[in-house]
Amino acid sequence: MSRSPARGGREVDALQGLLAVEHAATWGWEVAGAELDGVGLALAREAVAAHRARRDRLQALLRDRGAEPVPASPAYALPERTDDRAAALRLGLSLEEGTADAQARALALLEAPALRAAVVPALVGAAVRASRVRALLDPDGPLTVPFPGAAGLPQPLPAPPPPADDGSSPQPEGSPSSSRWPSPPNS
Amino acid sequence: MGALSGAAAALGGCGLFAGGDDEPGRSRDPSGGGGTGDLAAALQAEEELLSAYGAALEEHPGLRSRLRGARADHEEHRRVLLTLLADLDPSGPWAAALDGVAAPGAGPPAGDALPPTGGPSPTGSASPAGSPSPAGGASPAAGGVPVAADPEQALAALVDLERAAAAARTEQAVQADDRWAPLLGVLAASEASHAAVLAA
Repeated sequence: MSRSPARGGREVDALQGLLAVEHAATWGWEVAGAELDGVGLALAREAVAAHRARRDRLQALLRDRGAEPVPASPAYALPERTDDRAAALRLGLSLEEGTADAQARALALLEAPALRAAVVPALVGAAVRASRVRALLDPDGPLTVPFPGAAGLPQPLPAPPPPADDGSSPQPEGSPSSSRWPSPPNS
Repeated sequence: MGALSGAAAALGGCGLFAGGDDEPGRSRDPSGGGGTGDLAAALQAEEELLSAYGAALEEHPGLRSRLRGARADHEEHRRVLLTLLADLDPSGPWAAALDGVAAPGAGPPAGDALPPTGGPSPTGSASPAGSPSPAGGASPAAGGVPVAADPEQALAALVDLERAAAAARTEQAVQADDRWAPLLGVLAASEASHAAVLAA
């Protein structure tokens, strides 16, 4: 018995990519949570729940389109040890920033309003959780960024003009790209 | 460990990193102006938010440390939207407004004259101050924007405005031209994060 091919190739690819991100984010927050307590642990649990809910939703959307959802890896390699609170929170921040980037990237590929309506709240949720992690990492530092998910935009944002008394080029706008994203072994 | 490996790279492996603008985007912008309608509405909302922040700070200077980050973000939103609109319509009014935006934090005062977009407020609220004025306590500050006399109520009004803006940008992102849906989603996320931070 043959299986009918998945409908909407680009749409399915986008959803599969988002699902892969949710698998990694769920796993990463579970690791981070092991080093947290109090408010940080509560945030980690909330994040795990949110990413799992997103995972379930994406799996359902894919099956509706006749596609087999991409499975999670059994484990992921972390870019550094997360054996203290600060490192765990930095990992959590990277997970949410990376998730926001992925949602923004997917919005460029998903035309159906119903699918966009599922993605935008995930982008919003990731940005809000990222701000909460920043508050735990450095309560006196900047808690928000102007364009959460900007690394996923199809075109870079216009850079600010240089200050009048400084000839150096300004840094391009956007959230920092994640260099701490969990990767499956042997990737 | 390189950037965006593993799961996130699955997006790239599926060819989902949109590196260019080869395909014409499907336009849902009712103005037919290649996306200027959506962006102009978002810009109008940013102007309203900046006016509200300015008014709140004039009335309650003690809120400066709590409002500084979000206000700076809105200034960046304004600058980027003005730049994009000026690029889309070089002969339009946004290019002139952009001339006054020198660098982040150094833009012209909020509320500078911009062409009205018409229709309901793009922030989604009925008035620039959002919440109704509390009994016995709102006075117009800069630009006539009413501000609650109690700083916590003034803060709550800003939270309401941010939430309304997030909802409005979310709706826009769902319906927008393909080219601008991601940016509008990012703006929705920014406003929502402001609301969360201010409400904490």
